[in-house]
Amino acid sequence: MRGSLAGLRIRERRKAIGLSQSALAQRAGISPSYLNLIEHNKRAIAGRVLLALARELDVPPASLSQEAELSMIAEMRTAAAEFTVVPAEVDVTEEFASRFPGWARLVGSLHRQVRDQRAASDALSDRLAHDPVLQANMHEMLTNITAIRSTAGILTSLDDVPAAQQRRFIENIHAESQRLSEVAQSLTAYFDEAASSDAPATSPDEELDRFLAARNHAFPDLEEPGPGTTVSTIIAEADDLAEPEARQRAARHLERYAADAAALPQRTFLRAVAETSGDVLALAGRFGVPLQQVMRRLMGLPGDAGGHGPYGGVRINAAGTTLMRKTLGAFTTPRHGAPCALWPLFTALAQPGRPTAQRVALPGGDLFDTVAVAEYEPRTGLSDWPRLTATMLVRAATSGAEEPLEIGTACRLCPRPACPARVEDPILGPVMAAVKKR
Amino acid sequence: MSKTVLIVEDEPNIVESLAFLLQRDGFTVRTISDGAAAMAELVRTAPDVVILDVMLPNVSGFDILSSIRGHDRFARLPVMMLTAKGQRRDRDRAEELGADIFVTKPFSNTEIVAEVRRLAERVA
Repeated sequence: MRGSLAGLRIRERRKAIGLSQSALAQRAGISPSYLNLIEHNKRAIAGRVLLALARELDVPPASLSQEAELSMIAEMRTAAAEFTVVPAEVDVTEEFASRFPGWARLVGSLHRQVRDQRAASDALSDRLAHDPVLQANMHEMLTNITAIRSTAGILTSLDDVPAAQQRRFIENIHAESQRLSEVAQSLTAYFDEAASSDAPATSPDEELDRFLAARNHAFPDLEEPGPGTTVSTIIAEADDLAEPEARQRAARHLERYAADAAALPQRTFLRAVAETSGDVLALAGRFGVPLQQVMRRLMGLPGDAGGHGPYGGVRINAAGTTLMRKTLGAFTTPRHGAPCALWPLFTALAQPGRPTAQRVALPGGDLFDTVAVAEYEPRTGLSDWPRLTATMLVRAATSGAEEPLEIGTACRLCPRPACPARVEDPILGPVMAAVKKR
Repeated sequence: MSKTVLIVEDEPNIVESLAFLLQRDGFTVRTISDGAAAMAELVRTAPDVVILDVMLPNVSGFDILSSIRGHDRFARLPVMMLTAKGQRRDRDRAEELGADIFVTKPFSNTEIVAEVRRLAERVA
């Protein structure tokens, strides 16, 4: 009987508890010669005999069940066959699985995970290639581009186009380019929707993100101090916070929010925002509070913050880990991996206490005004190691002709070919070689 | 006598620029946007060259191409297929059904005119 470990395990367990073969056979109600065959893996066991042996050896029946073993061994063999780069000792798979069942299960389970993730990524790339919405939009875009290219080609290369026809062609180009921008917008909306779909959150971070985004980072119940709603009731009622860790983080976030609301009451703060046109430094000076506290308050203001917002932003620790994010239009932070190294946020981190204001441009052309600052968190004791965090506040650029700093979201999502800060190629095609040649 | 090109394409601005280019090059141009009416128009105009889009309302360009090739009169009529999908299998299918040339959008004006001229010259 190939592939069974039960025999080996029965023999080892029997010896460990000091039973002879005949004694065990007698207790289990089978003949000693039959037990001998079982122990040498020459007979399979199941049903009543399996239960009797498991009972006498005081082990869970599942540990002697061959089905689980066989599937575990098969899984390990498949793993070895699929990952030939690392040659495994396939001929001793059964012995290994018998001696180290925990490790064997781990190998099998890791292999299953790799296989499932491969299947998932295949399904995703398949979807990208065959998604009907993407296909229709691509077709529409190619059609618009064809009309524009052909018409523009006529206008630029031929001098004998009659005036009336010229005008018609220009109108056609205008109409086609308008349609093209509509298609581009609908594609952006489609991807946005896909990104915020009902797929389960994969980490406490993501759960907290969604919890905050769903409430637009504003908690009216925490604005008025009193016996009303408290942090714990908001958390208890939030059915979109499942993981205990996400609930803890949300509670910490809301406690800080409540403290900020007490220090900078909304009505007074909104008036000050109007008077200072949302100037972060002026606001911090007026209330005598840290800049980051003003930034957090601005991000939690309802609507368009009295015409000076809305505000988005991101807060990180000294290692660059995102602690909080609020997206604003095209300004988003990458969910996985590092953000663009050119963000003023990182410059701020290098100069604690020194705020910087910088207009930035995203690859799509969207302009934002940012204010970034790094500050030390309050210390509870002299032995506390100083903790540095940085926040970058973001709002849509409104006026002025200030030259923007060209940034991206993250290298993987950024099409700028000649960026000196690039560390990896974008998903949509290599540009690293082009950069290196320059 | 000038040669006739029939453009079967549903995107009016592409039709307009193609028609302009080909007329300027001395061709008589007929256009039709509905795939279902394409065969009737073909019989009526008896063109020397057909420019045929793959994605058409009602009937696909591939279906029209097989009708063209199934018709004794048009078995050797030069057909240029246009498509926004540059996919291998579309190209293979067009070749299999007997398209003379396959051009993917966005195309270059000079390429289109040169190819139509070349196809028209093959007609005696």
